[in-house]
Amino acid sequence: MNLLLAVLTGVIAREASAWLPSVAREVIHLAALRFRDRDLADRYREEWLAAIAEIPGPIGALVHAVSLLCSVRSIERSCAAEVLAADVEQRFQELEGAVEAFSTAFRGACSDRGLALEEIHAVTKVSLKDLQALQSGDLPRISMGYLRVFDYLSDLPTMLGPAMPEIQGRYLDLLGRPGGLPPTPAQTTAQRAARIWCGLAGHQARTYFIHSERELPFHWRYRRCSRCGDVSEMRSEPCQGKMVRSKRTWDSPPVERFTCEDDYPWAYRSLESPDWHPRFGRVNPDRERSAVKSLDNGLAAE
Amino acid sequence: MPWLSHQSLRILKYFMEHPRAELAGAELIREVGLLSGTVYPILIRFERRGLVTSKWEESEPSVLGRPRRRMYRLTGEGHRVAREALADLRTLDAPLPAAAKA
Repeated sequence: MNLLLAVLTGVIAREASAWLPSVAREVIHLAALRFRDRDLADRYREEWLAAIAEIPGPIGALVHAVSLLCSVRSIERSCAAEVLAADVEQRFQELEGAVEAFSTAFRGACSDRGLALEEIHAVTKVSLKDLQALQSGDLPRISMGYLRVFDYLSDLPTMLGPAMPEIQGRYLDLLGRPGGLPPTPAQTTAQRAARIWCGLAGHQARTYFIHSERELPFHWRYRRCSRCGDVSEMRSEPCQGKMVRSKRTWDSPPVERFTCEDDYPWAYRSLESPDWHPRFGRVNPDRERSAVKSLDNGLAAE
Repeated sequence: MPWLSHQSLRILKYFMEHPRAELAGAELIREVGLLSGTVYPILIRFERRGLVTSKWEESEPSVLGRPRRRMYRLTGEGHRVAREALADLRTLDAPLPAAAKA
């Protein structure tokens, strides 16, 4: 019996030592998946794989990998605090700059190719009023807001020459890019406990917005779970909302809000799927870019 | 430096002891004796504040036979902040005048 036990223990130990390094590597991949920012995920995946490769024993490597897995949220919080401190206003400015660059390129392309707005209107069926607003860079005047720019861009490359796909790519980069995490206060013990429940049943999320004080046609949107306090990554979006001020009532002061927030009347949705989980909710910019390219190629072929 | 924790100071001190060296995260964990879950958030915070810079090892993983390491190095600003923070700490560590007289 003792002999059998000794043999079995030896076999199990050998098997474990053979498998543990790959388990540690898998834990690192899992840790990288937990990052909501793609750049951070790619960076830490490589950095941490190198780090565990330097640890001599397989058990030590596994412990190290689990410790790294636990540090993901802490790293994200460190980054989020930095992002929101000054970056939101700076990123609004970048978007404004992109709008100006677009309207300049649009004007230049029209004059170089001798295209009148009427001709573009005849081909794209975009209203003249919208095209004029687009040309002047006055985006709030474009009906349906900034979103329509994408439609224009997918129609216009064949008419306006090879510069347009490049401008379109720049736009996709700016508008679709993630903006880091919103302010994330330290989680309470109850929230940490609720995280297990949210992992099983999904988050109970509410949508929040960050607007520029200058009423720009963009905003940042993110979601926060009211149970566990977890937040989704912020994304910039076209904003068609106007700022309105509610009337003072007997028990509340006037509140300023943007009308775009009315698009989310069911702010609290229980059992919402955790769609900001990296496995479900991640936008793949490479895939978006290739989709745009294939669309352009299709238009060019036509 | 109100935002520098005890662990941050330990990492800065190690950087100050090796001012020209490029250090990998794993090396810092080993030498400073902190958990990896503590060291990496501190490093990224330092990097965002411009106290350290980081870059990948120049050789390709195929040549190295392992994944590339990310090497961290103290910047000029980091050197200044570290010197001030550690000097503050030494001042705090010094005995009070009354205690010194006694």
